[in-house]
Amino acid sequence: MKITPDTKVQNAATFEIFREDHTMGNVIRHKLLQEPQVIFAGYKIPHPLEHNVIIRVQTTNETKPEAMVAKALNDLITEVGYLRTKFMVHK
Amino acid sequence: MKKSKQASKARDHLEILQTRVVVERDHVSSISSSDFPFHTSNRYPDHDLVERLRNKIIIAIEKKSQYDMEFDIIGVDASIANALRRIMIAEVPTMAIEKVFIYDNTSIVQDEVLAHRLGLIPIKADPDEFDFKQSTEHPTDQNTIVFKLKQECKRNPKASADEAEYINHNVYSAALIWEPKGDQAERFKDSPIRPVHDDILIAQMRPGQKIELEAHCEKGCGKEHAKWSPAATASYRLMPDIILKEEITGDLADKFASCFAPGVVEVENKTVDGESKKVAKVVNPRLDTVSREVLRHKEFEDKVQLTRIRDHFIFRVESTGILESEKIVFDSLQILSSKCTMLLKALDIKLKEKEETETSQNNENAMELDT
Repeated sequence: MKITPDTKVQNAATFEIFREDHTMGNVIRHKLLQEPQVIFAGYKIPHPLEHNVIIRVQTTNETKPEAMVAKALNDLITEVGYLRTKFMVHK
Repeated sequence: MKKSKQASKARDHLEILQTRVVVERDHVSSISSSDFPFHTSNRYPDHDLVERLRNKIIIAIEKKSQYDMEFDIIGVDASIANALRRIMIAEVPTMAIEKVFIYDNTSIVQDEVLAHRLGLIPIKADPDEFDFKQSTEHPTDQNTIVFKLKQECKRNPKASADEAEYINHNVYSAALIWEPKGDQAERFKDSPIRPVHDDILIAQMRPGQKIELEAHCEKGCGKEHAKWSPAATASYRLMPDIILKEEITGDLADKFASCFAPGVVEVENKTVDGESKKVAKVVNPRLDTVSREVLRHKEFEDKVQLTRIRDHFIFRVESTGILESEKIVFDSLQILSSKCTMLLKALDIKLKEKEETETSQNNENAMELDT
């Protein structure tokens, strides 16, 4: 993973994640958009032959993009864990 | 009175836009989810995630057999449903033939074509029992399964008119013989490793032709090559919901029912004021194909709305026979959360690095000030 802070905009950064694709990119983007402190969140795969995703996040002054991505990932773990327990019931 | 009616109509319309994908005559509208803060009436600045999940998420299993299942996930966003689908297809590991050592191949199937065909044969082996083999590593009993295939075609001199002229001219997957290495014979004595199907035709030969080879299976993922994908099909669709705005009665009811797949709409007899009349009723929208046939008829134009429920996913997972369908789904959930944990760790490392460089820079600055 590589983090590049935006030089012109405050509280904005791009996260380059290697060896990931739409699977993680889209899911993280969705979870970021669930946060009221996130002003912008988007992802792209710059080139189909390069296996990395770029996620761009801009937040309000209250927080930092890194913190929001961490929260998004933690929320995702909770949600998937919840799905798993629900699925276990039927096993 | 009129005003409140209008208001409730507007509220209904808004609710449809928020919770449904609307299928119209010539296009689909209200596609994107609006489930994020500050959109229309959504305000959950201090929402409790777990609480929201508990109220929303439902999983129901509709049909289940060993290698085929249909189940519903209700209350998640499309991104999560799609992530699960993508993981089931491309990231759940299995074992498949990766290296083929050909000692003899005088059949007309070229070596590389033969090797490719062998690779696509599903191998019944529990992938959890094996490790990934790095390209630098040597094969061991922990990361490789060995199969041998030796078959020679001969003429059958005693063949009667209705018997095959040749012996062994069809090479089937059953000809792949597992050769246990190390402690594999002991480890897999309850479930011997073999091709899932014994009747996959690999090659055809004529008398005098011969195939002899050794095949090595390795663990891999569908994103590298589709031969490692455990899912024959893994797909989802949204639950159809047919909204009747007015009651459809009489002969129209029959016509209405015939617009849908069998079993979706039924015509019931209802008695009102001692008079019996036919009324159309939606009984099983799950069976609907959302064909839009009903929207072609003018008489139903304002009476019906075809929609799909935006957060109700009907998953269908068919397995190739290597893993049970249920295990594919369960593994995909596990993989999704482990990917998140991995990214969290990577993020943490990056943040620590950043902190260290900042503090060392601060120290340097402070030293400069001192001097």
